[in-house]
Amino acid sequence: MLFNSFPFIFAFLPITVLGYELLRRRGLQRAKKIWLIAASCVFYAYWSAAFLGLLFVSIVVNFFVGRRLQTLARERGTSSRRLLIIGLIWNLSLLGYFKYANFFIDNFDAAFGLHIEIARIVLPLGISFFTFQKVAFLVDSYRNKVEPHAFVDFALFVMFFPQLIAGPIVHFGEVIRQFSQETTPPAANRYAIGVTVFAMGLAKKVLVADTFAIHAGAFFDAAAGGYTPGMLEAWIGMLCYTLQIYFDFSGYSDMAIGLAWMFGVKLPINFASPYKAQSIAEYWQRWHVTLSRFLRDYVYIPLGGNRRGPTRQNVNLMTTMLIGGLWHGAAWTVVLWGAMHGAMLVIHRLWEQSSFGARRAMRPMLATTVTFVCVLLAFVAFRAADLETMMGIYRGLFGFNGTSFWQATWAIEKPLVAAALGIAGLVAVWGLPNTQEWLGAASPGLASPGYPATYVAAHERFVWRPDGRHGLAFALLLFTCFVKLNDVSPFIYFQF
Amino acid sequence: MTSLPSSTSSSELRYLKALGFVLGALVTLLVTITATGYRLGLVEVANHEIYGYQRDKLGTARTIDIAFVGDSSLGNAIDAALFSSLAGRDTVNLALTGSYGSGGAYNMAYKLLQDHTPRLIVVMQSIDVMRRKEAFPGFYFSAEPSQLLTTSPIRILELYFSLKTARRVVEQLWKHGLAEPAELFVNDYIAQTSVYSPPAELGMDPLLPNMVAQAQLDYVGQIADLCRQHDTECVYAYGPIYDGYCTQAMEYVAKVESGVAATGLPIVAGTPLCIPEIELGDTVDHVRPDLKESYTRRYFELLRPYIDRSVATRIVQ
Repeated sequence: MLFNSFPFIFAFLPITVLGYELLRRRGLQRAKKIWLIAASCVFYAYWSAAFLGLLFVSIVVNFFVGRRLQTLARERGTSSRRLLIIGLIWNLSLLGYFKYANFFIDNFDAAFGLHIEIARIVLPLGISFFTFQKVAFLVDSYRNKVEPHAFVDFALFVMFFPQLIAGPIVHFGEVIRQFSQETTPPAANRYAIGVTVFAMGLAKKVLVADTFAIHAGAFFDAAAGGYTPGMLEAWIGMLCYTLQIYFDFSGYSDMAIGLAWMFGVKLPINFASPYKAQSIAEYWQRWHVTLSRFLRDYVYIPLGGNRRGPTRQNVNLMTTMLIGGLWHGAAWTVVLWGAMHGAMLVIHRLWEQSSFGARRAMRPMLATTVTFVCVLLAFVAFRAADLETMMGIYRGLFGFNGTSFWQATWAIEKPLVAAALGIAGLVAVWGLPNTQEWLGAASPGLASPGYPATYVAAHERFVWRPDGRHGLAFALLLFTCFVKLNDVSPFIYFQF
Repeated sequence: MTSLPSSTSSSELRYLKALGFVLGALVTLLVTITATGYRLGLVEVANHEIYGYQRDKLGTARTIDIAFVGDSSLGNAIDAALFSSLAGRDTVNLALTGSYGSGGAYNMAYKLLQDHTPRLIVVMQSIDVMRRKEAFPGFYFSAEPSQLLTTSPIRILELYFSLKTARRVVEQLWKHGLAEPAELFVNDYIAQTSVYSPPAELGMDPLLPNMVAQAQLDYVGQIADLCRQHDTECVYAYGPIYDGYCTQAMEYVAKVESGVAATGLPIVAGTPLCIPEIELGDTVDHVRPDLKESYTRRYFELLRPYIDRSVATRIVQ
C-alpha cells in the first residue's frame, strides 16, 4: 500500500489509529502491539499476500537465531560466530535469490552464451530494507547489544508498517523500548506532530517530486530510446532527476517518521539537507543516513575501517560503496554509481590529507556546488536504463552532442518550465530548512551518533508552531496533496 | 518518554482542531460539488445524456433480438433501424462513449439481460478503449445501485475527489446554469460538431502493446460470463478506426485480441474497419455522419454468420 494513496489515507490509517488508541487507553500493551502487527500485515498484503508468508518465516528464523546468539553472549560473554554466519547466510541468501538471481544468470548467460531460461523472479517489496535490518539485529545480538524481548516485540520491530517497505533502516535498540513504553506522549502531541511531518513528506512527494518526475521521466525515457540530448537539455533533465529523487525519498522518510510518531515511536532521521553538504563525505552523513550508518557499522568498520593503513582504508571505502551500489539494484549501472561514490570518497580523503587540500579549503558555496554537481553526475549511472543510455547522457552533459543553447526538438516537453522549476528546487534545497529543522523543538526523529546534521536545534526563521494559523496552512497543504492523489505514483525506493 | 506540559498539549489540540475543521470542510465541499455535478449531468453533459437516452430504450423496447453495446465508434457506425431491416430482427444500439469503456458496455449488457432475451449481443468498441487505464469510473457511473453494494467507499471517494471535475461543474453552472442542453442527438446518437484532421505522423501518439489496460479486459471477461450465465450468444467486434492506426497498431491489436480471446468471446473477423481520412468524422474512431448507413451495411455483412447462427440455434432450441 502506498502512503500517498486514498486507501491508505482514508481507510487504513484512520482504522489503524482508532484501534491503537482504543487499546492504548485501556492499557492493553500486548494487544496494542498485536494490533500494529496485524495492521502491518494488511499493509504488506495489500501489495502481495503471497510474500507475507516469506516475511513471517524470515521473522521466525531470525528471532530464534537472534535469541540463541543473545543467550550465548550473555552466558559465555562471547556468542557463536558460526551461528551468526548461518543467520547472515539465511538473510543474504533470500536477498540474493530474489534480487540478484536473474541478474547473475543474465550476466552468466551473456558471458558464456548458455541461453539459460528462467522465469523472472518477483522482488518482494522492501526486502532490501528488512534484510539489512535483520542483519543488524543478528550482529547486535552477537555483540550482546540486544536486550531480552518477546517474539511479539521482534515481529513488530521488523513489520512496523511506517518503516517496513522503504526504511528508515532501524536498529532494534532504537525502537524496542518505545514499543513497550507504558505511557506515550499525549495524543494531541503525537497527532499534531505526526500529521504535520506526514503532510510535509506527502507534499514533497506529490507536489514536488512528482512534478520533477514528469520532466526527468520524459528525459530518461527518450534517452533510453536512443535520443541524444543536447548539453542544456541534459543538464536540465539531470537537475530535475536529482531533485526528484531527493524529494521523493526524503518525502517518504518524512511520512514514515510522521506516521511512527502518531503511534508514539520516534524513527531515526534519514535525510538532513544532503545537497547542502560541502563534501562527498558530508553528503553521506546527510543522505539516506540509516543506510550510510549501516554500511559504516556493519561493512566498513568490520572490513577494518581506517585502522589498517591508508591503502586499506581506500579499499574498504570502495568495497563499502560497491556493496551500497549493489544494494540499490541488480544492474551494472547502479554498481557503477556505487563505484563512483567510492572513488569520490577516496579522492576526497586524499585531497583532505594532501598538503594542497589542507592549505586551500574551498569556499562553502563552491564546495557545496562542486559536491552537488558530483552527486548529479553520479545519478546519471543510477537512473539510466543501461550503460549505453548512460554514456549518451554523459556525452550530452559534457557537450559532445552539441553545445548550442537551443535545440530544434526536445524530449522534455516544456524545457523552460523544467529549468525554472529546477532552479527553484535548487534554491529550496540550498536555502530552506529541512523538515526536522522546521519542526525544531518538536523533535520528530532520532539523531544518529556520528551524524552531526541529524542533531537538530530550532531554526531561527522558520519554526513550526501548533497554532491556528499553522493549522490552516497545513490543512490547505494536505488538501492540495489529496487533490493530487489521483495521479498516484510509486516511490523510487520501492524498487530497491 | 516524558509527557509534555499541558499548555503545549492544549495548543496542539487547537492546532489539530483548526487543521481538522478546515480540511474536513474543504474535502466535504469538493466532494459535494463533484457529486452534485455528476448527478445533475454537469460534468460531461453528453456522457450523462447518452446514458439516460440509451437506458430509456431498454424501458420502451418490446422485443430485442440483436443488441449492440459499446462506445462512440459503435454509436456513429451502426444505424439500428437499418440493421433491423437488413437482419429482419429487432435491433437496438445501446452505445455509450469511450469514457464509460468496457465497464459501461458491461452494465448495458447487464441491464439488457435483466428484462430481455436477445439472440445476439455484439460488443463493439474502438481499439482505443483498451488503453484507458481507468475502467472503474465507467462502470460506476452506469451501474445500478444494487451492483455497487460491495464497492469500496474509498474507490467512490476517489472518483469524486477531483478539483478538475469540480471546476468543470462550476464552469458549466456559470455558463449555462441548469438549462437543458440544446439538441444533443442526431440519428440516434450524439451529434458530431466538427471534423477531425489526423496528424501526419501517428508516431507521437502511438498505440503500443504495453498500453493495453487489463482493467478494461476484465470487464470484457465479465460480459462473457454474463452471456454464459444467460445462455446468450455474444461476439466482440472492433469499431471503425482511422486507417493510419490499422497499420501502426497491429501489435497492440494483437495484444487486445489475445486478451479478448481469453475471455471466450469470439472476435468478429474483418474488424476493425479502417476509415480512410476522407471518411473520418470528428475523431479517429468516428465515421462521418453521412456514412453511417454504409458502415452499417458493412458491419451487417461481417456479422451475418453470427446472426444466422444465433437464429438457427434458437430454432433448434
